[in-house]
Amino acid sequence: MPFDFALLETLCAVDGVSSREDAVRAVLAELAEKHGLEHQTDAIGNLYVKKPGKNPGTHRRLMVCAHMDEVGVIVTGYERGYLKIAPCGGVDSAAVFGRTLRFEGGVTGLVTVPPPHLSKSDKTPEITAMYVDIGAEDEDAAKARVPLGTVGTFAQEAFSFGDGLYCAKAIDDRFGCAQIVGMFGEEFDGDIYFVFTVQEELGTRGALVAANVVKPDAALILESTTAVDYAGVTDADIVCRVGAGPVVPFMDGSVVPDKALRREIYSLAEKLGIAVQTKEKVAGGTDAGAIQRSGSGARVAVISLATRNLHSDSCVASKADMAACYRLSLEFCKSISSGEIEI
Amino acid sequence: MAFDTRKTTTLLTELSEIDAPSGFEEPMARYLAGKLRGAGFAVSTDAMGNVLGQRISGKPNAARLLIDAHMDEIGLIITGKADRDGFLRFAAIGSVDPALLPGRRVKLLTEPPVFGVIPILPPHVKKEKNSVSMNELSIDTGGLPFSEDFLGAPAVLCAESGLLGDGAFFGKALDNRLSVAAILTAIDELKETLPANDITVTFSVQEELGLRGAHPASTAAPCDYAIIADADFAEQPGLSSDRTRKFGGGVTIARGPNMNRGFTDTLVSLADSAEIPYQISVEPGRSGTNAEVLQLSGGGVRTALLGTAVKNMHSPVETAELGDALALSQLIFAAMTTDLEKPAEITFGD
Repeated sequence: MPFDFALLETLCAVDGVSSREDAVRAVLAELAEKHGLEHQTDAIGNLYVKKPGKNPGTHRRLMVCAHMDEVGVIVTGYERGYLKIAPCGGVDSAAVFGRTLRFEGGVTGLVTVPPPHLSKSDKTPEITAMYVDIGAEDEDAAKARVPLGTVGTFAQEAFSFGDGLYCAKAIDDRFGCAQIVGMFGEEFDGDIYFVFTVQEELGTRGALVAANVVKPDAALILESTTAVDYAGVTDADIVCRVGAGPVVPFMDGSVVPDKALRREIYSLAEKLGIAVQTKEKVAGGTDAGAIQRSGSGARVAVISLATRNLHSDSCVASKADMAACYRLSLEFCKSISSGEIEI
Repeated sequence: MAFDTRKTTTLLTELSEIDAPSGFEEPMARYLAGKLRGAGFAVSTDAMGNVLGQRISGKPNAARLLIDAHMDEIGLIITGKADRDGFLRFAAIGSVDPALLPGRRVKLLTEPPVFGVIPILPPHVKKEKNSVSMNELSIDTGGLPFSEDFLGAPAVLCAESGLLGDGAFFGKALDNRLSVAAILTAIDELKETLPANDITVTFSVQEELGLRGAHPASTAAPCDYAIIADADFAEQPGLSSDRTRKFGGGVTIARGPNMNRGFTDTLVSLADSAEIPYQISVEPGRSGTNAEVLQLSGGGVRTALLGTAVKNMHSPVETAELGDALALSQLIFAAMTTDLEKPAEITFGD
């Protein structure tokens, strides 16, 4: 089956700010059940779905993971009826300024903006200096509606635009989650350990636990990564490009992925006629770093979707890239599972 | 005066969602001309695009009262192709805070409309933290090839609208669609009766580009009194209280050199006797509104400035209190239905 874009739309619309991934996990667990697969949740919230192979036996352990969480904000206090917030994960202040937010419980909040007529500064305020208006009269009313520690995410609706592009919050990393759900319905020779991790955006925390639980020999991390192929950015600053195919990085801020596996992905892509690209800048980080260093070590590979405006309410990615990423990831898993690619 | 929250919310949603950046107000002009006709006004549109509606009292020597609200909003305009395929350069229409732009969806008002996204630079590429300059920004069209149709096309930021908390409404362009809604509500109420004065309603263009539309509008409709309805700054954290008004504090009635004292006194006493909630806002110099133009038009006009407190002005999340809109509407209605004294013409007997 090709990549299920409608499923990605469904998953992006669910809210799951780091440490509060419950709603995303519930949707994924239900999808596992639909495919007749058992699921388990660990103490930190990672969701495990083991897909039994056709010929179980001596296969080495392959873990395939994607993170469920997304960046957002967390309520840290009140001033009159306004909420004070802090970032939850890496969020740029410009991505929050003047935005419509949705807090747990469904309360809408607006990040206030000083009118340019009265503003003395041309700097965007720090997120911790921003105020969120929920229409509450005073602190007590605000507290009752949005208690301390409540998380919030971007409320903008998703949309498709341009030449096959999709714009939504949380493409990072619901795209990885959607690929794994696609694999629920595929056949593999060996067992595959699918893991939906938590708290990636807070420093790849869930993956560390997941790797200790699964003890994989190798892991494939399905991610979304920063494309900075905008106008106004010099070529030297471009990390990768939307529409140029799956991103197979040689190094980022967290990990040097396994070189042999990376070469296997390149030759597989060539065989499948899929154009791939790499990250041209050492930036960002993924669960791969935590998994590689777990236990006595694991071989890790990363396949990412080039995404513009990462960590904002307007992540932008190409539907053609999505289809190519999924096809490459699926064939890579099948080749490992069949023993064609050794781990 | 009857005021239906649901009806007002529907009206505000319609008004907020019509796109009409300064200089490109045609869709709003069409909508408002229809509303004016529906309320029994004789409607005309001038060369600049201002919509004028007139309803006379039928009384001899009635005072002429003009009620104005600008119908334009701030926006963007495409100035060319950017240095990368699929991206467009743009400039602001009116006063737009660049910090509001990164990561926003935009709607290009081409036929049909085209949607795009303004990229947000990730921290590792950004040269200076918390700083955005308009000329480093572009619009990502999602790879569409450049076409001449894009050149000079206006655009607006995509915005959602709706109720906030119990009685507030948020959306784009509440500056000045809230005033427009208040006027529409008042003239609708007036349908059943005759006004006490000869009324001209002007929905003017290009206010955000420097009060431009008000010039021809005030020339076309000479008047004795003018009420300008425009958004005022609401109290919000981080803003000095001497330039802001209480949110939910009723209609704002401005005092200062830009406003006629006698006419403003009349409006204050009308508000008192009809128990309309109001607050005085002081405009120490030029008000920055069409009141500046009206006050000086023709042989001079007795001008008053009314408004409502709006939070987050010039952003896609402008927020206003429905109760304030009602108060504004009630006071405009009271002015239209109260006999205003016809001022003596200045004559020199020659």
